[in-house]
Amino acid sequence: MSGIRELLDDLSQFESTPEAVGYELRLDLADIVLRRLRELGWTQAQLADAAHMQSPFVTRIVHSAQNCTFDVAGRLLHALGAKAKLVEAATSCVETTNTGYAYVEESAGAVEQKTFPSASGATNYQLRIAAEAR
Amino acid sequence: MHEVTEVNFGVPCNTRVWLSRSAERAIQKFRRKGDPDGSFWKRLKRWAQNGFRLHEGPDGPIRLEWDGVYRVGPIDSLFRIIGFYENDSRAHFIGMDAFLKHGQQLTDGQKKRIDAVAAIKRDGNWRKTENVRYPRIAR
Repeated sequence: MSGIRELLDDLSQFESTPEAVGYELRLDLADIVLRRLRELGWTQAQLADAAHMQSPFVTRIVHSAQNCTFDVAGRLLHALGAKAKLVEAATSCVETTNTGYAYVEESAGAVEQKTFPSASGATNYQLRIAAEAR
Repeated sequence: MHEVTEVNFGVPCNTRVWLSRSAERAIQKFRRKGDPDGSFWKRLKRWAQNGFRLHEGPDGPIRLEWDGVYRVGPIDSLFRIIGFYENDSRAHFIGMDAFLKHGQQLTDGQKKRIDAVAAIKRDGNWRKTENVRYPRIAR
């Protein structure tokens, strides 16, 4: 078996574990934080200041190296002027609010997260949960 | 001539990752000993999906070393993939080498390995190979 093939098989096994579901959320949170930092032109240190957190903690979040509670994720997102919600990845979903809308779409097994900033500046994001039939 | 093979993650990737045999071997070795839960590999997949550009920066997991050579590695690991982009579009990352750092600082030997990757990039001494180990579409 080739090395890459073996690694991909390992990855496939890991992705079928309960831990992988939580890990996906870490990755999603890091994605949202990074995209919003880019939009705002902020550094990770500026986010840490705004969220009253230590800069190394924010860096670990960005690297998906840190587990965190929903409350901590909420503080980070609030500091970034973003909102997030959990949705089922397998379900195409459109969310409309007074401040904007966002949706998740799935095609050919790939889930794409699309977000649209609102007129008020707040951004709605969706954290997705991988919902696969076992 | 150094040959690189694409890592087919099975999802659309904004940055497609290619690995040399030596990088592949180093990743395999690290996977067995240093990455039992596959988190490094999983993150690499996500970064490739997003495109490496999003994760670049002085505090990001993808950082410029020198001479156009980048290192890929999260903060909670000392494992690094060393490589370069095929061009400015950042659509293809060529992972030419990989190693596990012994501490925060690079050793002289590791710096020389990064220099060697820079030389491969400068001289264009590499090429993509079709991955015959994956099923091919019949013509």
